[in-house]
Amino acid sequence: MHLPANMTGARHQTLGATTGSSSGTTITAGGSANTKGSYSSLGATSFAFEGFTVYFLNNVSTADFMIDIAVGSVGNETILIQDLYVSCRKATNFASVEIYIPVHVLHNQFMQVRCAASSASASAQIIIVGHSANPGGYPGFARAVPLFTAATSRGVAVDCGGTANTKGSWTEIIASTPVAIDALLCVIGCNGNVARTTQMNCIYDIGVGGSGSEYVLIPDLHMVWDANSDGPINVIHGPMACRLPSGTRLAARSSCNNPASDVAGRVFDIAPLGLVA
Amino acid sequence: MYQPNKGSGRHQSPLVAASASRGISVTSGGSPNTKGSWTNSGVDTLFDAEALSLQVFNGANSVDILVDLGIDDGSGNVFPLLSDWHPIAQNGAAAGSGIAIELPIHVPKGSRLAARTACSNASTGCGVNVTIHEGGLNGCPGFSRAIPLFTAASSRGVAIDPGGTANTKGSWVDMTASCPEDIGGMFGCIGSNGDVARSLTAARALLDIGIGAAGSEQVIYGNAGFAWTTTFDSPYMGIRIPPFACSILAGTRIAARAQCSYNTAGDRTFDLGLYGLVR
Repeated sequence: MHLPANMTGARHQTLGATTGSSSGTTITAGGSANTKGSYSSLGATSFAFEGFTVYFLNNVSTADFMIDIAVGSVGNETILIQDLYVSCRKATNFASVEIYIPVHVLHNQFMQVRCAASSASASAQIIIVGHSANPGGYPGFARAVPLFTAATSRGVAVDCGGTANTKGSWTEIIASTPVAIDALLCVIGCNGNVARTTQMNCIYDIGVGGSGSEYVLIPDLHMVWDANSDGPINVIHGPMACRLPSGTRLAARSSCNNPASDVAGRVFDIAPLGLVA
Repeated sequence: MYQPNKGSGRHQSPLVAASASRGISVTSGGSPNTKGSWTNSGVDTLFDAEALSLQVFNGANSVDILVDLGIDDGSGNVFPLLSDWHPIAQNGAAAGSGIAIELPIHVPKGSRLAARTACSNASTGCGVNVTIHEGGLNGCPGFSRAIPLFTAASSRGVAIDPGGTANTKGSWVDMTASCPEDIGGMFGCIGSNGDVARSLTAARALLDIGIGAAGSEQVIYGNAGFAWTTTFDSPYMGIRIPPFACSILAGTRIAARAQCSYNTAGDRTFDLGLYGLVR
C-alpha cells in the first residue's frame, strides 16, 4: 500500500546552505566553456532521501549552466542527475530556480555537485533540501538521465513557427532514448537569447514516434516570457509520469501568440530529463 | 495497492485556449480582491488523473492575483481542488509572469475543471492552464485537494520580514494559528508583497518553515534559497516551494521566518503562500 512514508512524518535535511551570506555552496564551471568543473561537496545525508529539491542561485553570470549531482567520495562520484539545465538570463537578472527531483539517495552519502557553463569558470550557488519521503509516500527513482545532447550547455532549440497560435514543425529532441524511463522532467530555457522585445504566450507538445508520424504524448504545456525576463526562465514542467521504452524518439513542437514581432524571440530550448526506475 | 509505473500514462490539457497559445482567460471580480466568476472551457477530463500541472499567466503589471481551481458539476457547485494560489506579477511595461507547478492531486474522469481569480485591481484577467496526468509518480495516487495555510489579504500571501540584521533569521511569522485539516504534504509560492519599487541590485534569502507554538517553533523545512533583483523588483516570477511530504495534524500552528543578504527596510520583505495537501 502507498501510505506509510509520510504518515509518520517526513524529515528534511538541508545541504549546502551558507547562512553567513544567505546563499548556497558555490559551484564553478570548467576553465573552458561547456566543460564540467570540479565537484563541490554539499555534505553527507543524515538519512536516506526518496527525493530532494534543488535550489539554484546565480547573480553573477549570464551563462547557461548544466549541472551534475552525484554521490560518493571525491574521485569516486556516481552521477545521479546528469545535465540538469538552468538557462541564462540578462546580466541584471538574478537566477532563482527550484526543481523537485524524486531520486533516491542512500543514508550517509556525500552529495557532490559540479557544472559546465557557456562561459568559462562561471559560478553559481546550490542548496539541496533532501526528503525522507515523497508526497504520497512513493519511492524515489534511481537516477535521472538527459534526453538530449548538451552541446553548448543548453537544450534543443524549438521554434514556434511563423504563424500565430499554430503549432510549428516537430523538432527532434533525441533520436533514441538511452534507457526506459518512467517520468519526464522538462526544463525550458531562452536558447541563449537575452534580447527579447515582446511578451509571448507559448504552448508546446511533447511527442513520440518516428519522424513524420509523431503523436502527442503531453499536450499544450504553457509558458510566457517578455522583454523584462528575456526568456522563459524558471519554467519547469514535471516530473510527469510517463513510461517510455528505451529507443523511443522524442520530439517537441510549439506555438506562440506573437511570432512576427520578435522572430528570434519565438525560439526557446528544452532540456528534458528522464527518471529511471 | 502500490502499482509501480501504472500504464504509460495519458496526459490532457482541458483548459487550453489554443487560439491564444495559453490557458483560458479568467477575470477577477468587479472590486479589488474579490473573486470573479468560475470559468471553464466546456471540456471534460478523459480519464482519472493522479497529478496535474498548473500553469498560470498573469499578464497585468504590478498586481497580485489569487487563483482557485475546482471541478464544476454543471449545477452551480464547484468542488475546490486548490484555493488562493498566488502567482505574482512583475513591474514594468510589457510585463507578464508565469508560474508552473506540479501537484499530486486526483482529478476524476469526466470532471469539468474551472478556475476563478481575485486581483489587487478590479476586473483583471489572467490565463489558467492545467495539464492532467493519468499516472502519479511511481504509481502513487493523488491527494484529494489542496488547502491554503494562510489567510489571503490584498490578493497576496503573508508578509515575511527577514529583519534588520543581514544574514540572520528574523522573527517567526504566523502562517496559520491552526492548520484546518490533517495534511500529508505542503507546497508554496513566494511573492513581492506588493513592492515593485525595490532599490537593491541583488538579494538572496533563506526561508524556514516551522511548526509549534509561538516561541517554541521547530523547523520542519529549512533554508530554502531564493533571490531577487531590481529588474523584477521582487522575488521574481515563478518562485515555488515544490510539494514536499509532511504529516501535520489539524490544529497545528504553522509559521515561517527568513534571513536576507540585504537588510534595507522595504526591500527585504516578501510574501509567502503555503498550501497543504489533503488526503
